[in-house]
Amino acid sequence: MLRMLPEYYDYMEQEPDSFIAKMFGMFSVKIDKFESLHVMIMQNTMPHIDGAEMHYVFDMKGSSINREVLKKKKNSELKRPTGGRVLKDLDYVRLKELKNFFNLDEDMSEPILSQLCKDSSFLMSQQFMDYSLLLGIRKIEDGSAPDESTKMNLANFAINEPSIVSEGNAGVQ
Amino acid sequence: MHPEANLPVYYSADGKWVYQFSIIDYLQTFDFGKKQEVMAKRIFKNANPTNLSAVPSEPYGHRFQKFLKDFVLQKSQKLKKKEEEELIKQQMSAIMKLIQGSLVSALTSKLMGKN
Repeated sequence: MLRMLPEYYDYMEQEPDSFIAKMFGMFSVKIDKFESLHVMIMQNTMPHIDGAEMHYVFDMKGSSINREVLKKKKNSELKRPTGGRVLKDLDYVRLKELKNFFNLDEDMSEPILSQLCKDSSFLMSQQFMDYSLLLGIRKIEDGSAPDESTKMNLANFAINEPSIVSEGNAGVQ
Repeated sequence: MHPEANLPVYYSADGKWVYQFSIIDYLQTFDFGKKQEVMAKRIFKNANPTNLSAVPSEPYGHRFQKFLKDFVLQKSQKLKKKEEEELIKQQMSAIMKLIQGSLVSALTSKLMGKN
């Protein structure tokens, strides 16, 4: 793990828009008579957004074996959003047709796809595997119409949160 | 690095949904146990080492990327169909307008000619 840190640093520097969850710090905690415990602080990739509740969370690896959480549920039982429960690949494929919650035009999704592929290629070059794409889908509540000003506010809010984490982390170091 | 820069947030075309993407759990390598496995195969099965040393992170990555492209970042069939229909409707109405326009101009020119 430590071996890849220089490459990791270079990559994150080169690709500020990378989707790879950032590592903030690694610590060893040793308490008397206990074995030392390794802890890594990582970025919260799904900070809370005001006025947009989390409806679905998917953890996807691109496999279809053992990648379904809601297998036993019938379509009629899936009317309500599953909230913070982590669902997998096959649930995504199924729920997408049911709920039509993925609606990004190509000019939007194309840069996301190319960045994700770049990230995956980097992880490939570092011989990592078994990583997953974490996709959070929130629904904007009625009333908080997505005009430009709320969009800006939401974006600002999202940016503010992890900086607190990193400051706290810098303090520890 | 830019620790203060957060992951971007994306809004759906209809403004109803917000998406948060990230890649997590990426510290699983081709670990010691798996390397032993390869060594064992090399010794006992006399398998071709160049085949075996093909690191599984590569097929994993390719499969991952293909899944993203074919499934994750694609709209549902329903939405695609709806959009296609809408596009055809728009084109039809544009054509109708063109035909109407040309008819009107043809008529007016005829009338003008008569006068």
